[in-house]
Amino acid sequence: MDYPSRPGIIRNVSLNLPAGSFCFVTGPSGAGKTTLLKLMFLGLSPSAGRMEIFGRDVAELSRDQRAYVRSRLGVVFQDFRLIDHMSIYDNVALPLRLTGKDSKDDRDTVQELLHWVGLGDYAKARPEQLSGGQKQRAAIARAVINRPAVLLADEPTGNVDDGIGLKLLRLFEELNKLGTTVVVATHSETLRQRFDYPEFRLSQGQLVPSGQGAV
Amino acid sequence: MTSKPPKKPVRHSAAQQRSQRPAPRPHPYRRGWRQIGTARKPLMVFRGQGAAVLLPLILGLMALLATFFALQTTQRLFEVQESIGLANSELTVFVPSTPGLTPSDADPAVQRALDRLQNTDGLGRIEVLNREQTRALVEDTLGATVMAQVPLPTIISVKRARRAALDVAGLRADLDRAAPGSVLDDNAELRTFLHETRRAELSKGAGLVAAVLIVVSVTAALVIGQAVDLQARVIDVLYLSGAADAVIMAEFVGFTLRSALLGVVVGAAAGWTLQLAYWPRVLQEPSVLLPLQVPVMILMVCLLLLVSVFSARWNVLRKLKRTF
Repeated sequence: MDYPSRPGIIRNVSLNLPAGSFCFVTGPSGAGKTTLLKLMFLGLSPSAGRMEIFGRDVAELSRDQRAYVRSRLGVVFQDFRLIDHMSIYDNVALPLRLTGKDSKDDRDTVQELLHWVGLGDYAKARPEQLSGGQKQRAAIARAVINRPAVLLADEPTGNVDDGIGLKLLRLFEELNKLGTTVVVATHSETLRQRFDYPEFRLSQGQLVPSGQGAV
Repeated sequence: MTSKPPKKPVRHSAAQQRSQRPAPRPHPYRRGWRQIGTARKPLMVFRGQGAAVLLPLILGLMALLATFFALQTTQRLFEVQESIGLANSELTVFVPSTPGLTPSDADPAVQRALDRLQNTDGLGRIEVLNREQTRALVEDTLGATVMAQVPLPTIISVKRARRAALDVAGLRADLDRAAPGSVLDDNAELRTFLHETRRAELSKGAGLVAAVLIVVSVTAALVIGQAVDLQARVIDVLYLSGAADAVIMAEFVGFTLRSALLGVVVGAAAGWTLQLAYWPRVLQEPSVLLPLQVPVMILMVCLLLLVSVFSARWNVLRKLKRTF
């Protein structure tokens, strides 16, 4: 993967994520974790090599088909990416409304999910009224509202303290138990060491042996 | 005990077999993307937050300028056209005074000219100007010094009947026979001048309006481009949530259209009010002038809205293809 200003940001990376797995992508800042996740959620196209998602070569997908693939992925970012002028409820319901779902059942689903992430009382609040941890939980709720097959989290604990970070990872673990494939990119060794999941370690755009991940 | 005969295999026709097969499940990519591409209700996720409130303001300002200049051009063209209509409908006959007559004597040459005019088809009102009116009119052309030395002619003002064919050359020859030395002025020079003025106004106005529209279009494209950048977060979220390009574009175009409609309608109304201050005649003859101005305003509003929509579509597509 090349950026115009930085060629070869990811090189010789070959990995396979089985459905229903949980893994960490680790490495220092600038190692290429975010770029790898961007490739996975089709925010970037690989400049060389082959990438398959749900058994399809992404190079063969049209823009509309890529949109459909993205709708089956959930993405969580370090900076939450909530829409400031919308309530937490509307932020979480947005992916549902994109598919035209706005029935009473769908509204109940949003409310249930907000309760599940501990934001049941904050449905009408605006993102600026929430703490970092609450915002991240809202972002997670939005990412999973459409029951995605894969959840990609890019430094989800970067803007919260370790205690909250641990709770968020437990939330990901629960989702994984429900069948969602979870990929968490983090540079926090302390958090990662608390979980016994495979790890893909990146260094200068290349996978390096970590002893845990199946490369 | 009788044994049941073995069941014969039931034979179905090919069509029956096809109808009994379970319907093939649509491929997930085919099933899904159309649904994603057509969100049922507008999401209204784009709002005029932050600096995006400038969008209706700037588009409104552009609408004010475009409408004002377009209405100014319309006004000038209307006035020239009105003068052309007047020049087309008026004829003036100058009959020189017969030598030896006192001012109180009836001039037989004038009478013959009047008879000729009254017997000509295609003419309406015929009026002989009195001495004061004649003096005022001729003095303007010849000056007071010359006026003292030449006898005052008689001036006959003639109105042409509407849509009537008139042989001006024939009438001129007839009048010259009836009242030798008489002159028939059909405003040919004035009409030529007015037609040239109309052509010049038309090209000047079209050029001005085109220039204003180009400036407005470029400004709108730049402002909308900025608005796209300001809304990058929302576009990102929609993209990541699985919205197809068409949905993101429709949402942003909807937002631009709402902002533009607000700005452009208010701006066009302000442009009309400004023009009204220059041309209050609109209030005196609204039934004549408003039907002229309203289509111009509607055209300007529609053009600006079209420019906004195209600009919004182009900017969002560019942003999506560049970013993702």
